[in-house]
Amino acid sequence: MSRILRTLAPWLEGLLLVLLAAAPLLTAWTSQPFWLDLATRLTILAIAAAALNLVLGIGGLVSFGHAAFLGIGAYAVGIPAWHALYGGAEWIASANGFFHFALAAGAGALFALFTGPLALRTRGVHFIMITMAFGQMVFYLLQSLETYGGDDGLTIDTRSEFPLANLDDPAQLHWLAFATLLAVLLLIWRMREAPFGLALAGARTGERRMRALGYDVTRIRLAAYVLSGALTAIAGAWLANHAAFVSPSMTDWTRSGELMFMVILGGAGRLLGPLTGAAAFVLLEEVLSSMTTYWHLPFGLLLILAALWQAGVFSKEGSST
Amino acid sequence: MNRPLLELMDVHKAFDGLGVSVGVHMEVRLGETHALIGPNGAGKTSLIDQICGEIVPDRGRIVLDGEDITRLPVHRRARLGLARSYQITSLMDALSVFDNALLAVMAHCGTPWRMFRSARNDERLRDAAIAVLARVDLGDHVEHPAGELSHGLRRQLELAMTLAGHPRLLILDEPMAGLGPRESARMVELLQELKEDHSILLVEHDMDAVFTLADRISVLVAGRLIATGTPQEVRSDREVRRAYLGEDADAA
Ligand SMILES: Nc1ncnc2c1ncn2[C@@H]1O[C@H](COP(=O)(O)OP(=O)(O)O)[C@@H](O)[C@H]1O
Ligand SMILES: [Mg+2]
Repeated sequence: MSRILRTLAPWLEGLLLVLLAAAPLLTAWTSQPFWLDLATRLTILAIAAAALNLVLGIGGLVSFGHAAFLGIGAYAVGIPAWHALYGGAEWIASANGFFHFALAAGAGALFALFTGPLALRTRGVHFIMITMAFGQMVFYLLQSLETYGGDDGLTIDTRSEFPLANLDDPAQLHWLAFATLLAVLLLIWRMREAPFGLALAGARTGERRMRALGYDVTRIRLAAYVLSGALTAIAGAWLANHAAFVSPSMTDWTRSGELMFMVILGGAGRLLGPLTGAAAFVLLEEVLSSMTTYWHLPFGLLLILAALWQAGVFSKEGSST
Repeated sequence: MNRPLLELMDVHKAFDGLGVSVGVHMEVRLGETHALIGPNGAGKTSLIDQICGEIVPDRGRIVLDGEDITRLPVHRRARLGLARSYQITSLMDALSVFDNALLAVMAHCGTPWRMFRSARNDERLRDAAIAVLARVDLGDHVEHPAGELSHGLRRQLELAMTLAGHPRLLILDEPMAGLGPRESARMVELLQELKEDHSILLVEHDMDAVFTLADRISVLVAGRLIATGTPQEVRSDREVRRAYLGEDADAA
């Protein structure tokens, strides 16, 4: 980013936060529900991008499979809700929102815990490839779930139920998602200053030295990966509630590329960068889809190239330095 | 005579059939400064890499204070009190000098798992980091990114990284590499101070520095340790003169 943008960005991001906080009021005032829809989508994508920023921006781990966590979180809402409505699988059937979100976070963390150790044995381009492969694994797994719509996905007929809140009300859903975003940003803000965040950043820029100092770099990275997976899955649970629909395409590798694009456009490692990235993405998506119906593939490829280029994949040193 | 702190027993390592360590027996005693010298390519850095765990020997044992560490990962050895500097400076370049020192301090007191309380505002960590930076004359550069320092200052920070944890054994790989005469003189002064309360394994090409600092010297040539002894003994060793010291003019 140029110098002007760099000084301007925090102000714009602050303004964006205010606009997002006030979005339900603004849209009610202008009677343009479409804008609230956009604002909520932006908010949820910003949660996912902030979670990815933790590993990619601070930790320097270019995960190209993060959309898998979105899908895992979304199906952690979709599957219990479906069984709650249509019976079967009592052990998981539930309309309870706390259960949905806990299941999302738990499943996301678990998936990261199992795939992380293998992925973290690799570096640079290999890490990108292996995380992408794990992501595609989830994609095909979800596609094969015929009970839950297979390729076509699953419509969610009852959103997550919370006491005192009703997610069928777009304003309430928006505010709760926004509160989640604030909580995630707060967590990352504290963490960057704390020993854990410092160690994670140290491993990004000086892995060899960090090991020689006595840090178990692999475990620190795994912890960050697991935390990031859980948070991204929570974003996925919000996405499911917002769209009232889940499908395997949420975990497609181009989705992972889009998340990477958001992180990198907003400035990898910057606390509020994911806000800028998500805003730019949502706007681009709107503009392009209004111009042509065939926007998705070229747009996706462009984003991924931009993301990989920015991550230094095409430079000689790779991204792990 | 002090008890041995670090012992290498019959250490072998070959790269593509070429031996970089050939049956190395070596001992660093508690409290001594032990210099390891030898021509370029003799296998000094490779030996350090094996002591610190970046390379696993093909054969032989490495023992630190009675404990076999031959197969421990790098970070575990560091926690046992091995601290090394690299011949090619290895820092967290994107972080500030202060954060580098902070991480070095944190590695030995405190936990990397704390997620909420700031490390930079933790007085205990802060004071320790400032103290170690002051010791290597970097007090004026705390906010600079480590990657933007001059070569000489980077070498000083490299040294600071090893001091922060109050290590049991300091392993220094050519601390004077690339330094000008004045910076070198300052480094020798620093090492002389450190020598008072540290056990040191020192690899260095600067023979004046070696003979000033070392209590004992080992000579490595083509992966073999050909001599170990006091500076006087090594200086007068015929094999050493032939294999190494005679070539000093060429090596420089
Ligand atoms: N990872 C490696 N793979 C293959 N050869 C290596 C490796 N590391 C060092 N060498 C070779 O081992 C020999 C000893 O190198 P080194 O230990 O760096 O010597 P010194 O530090 O004494 O100058 C050199 O010939 C070097 O090229
Ligand atoms: Mg060397």
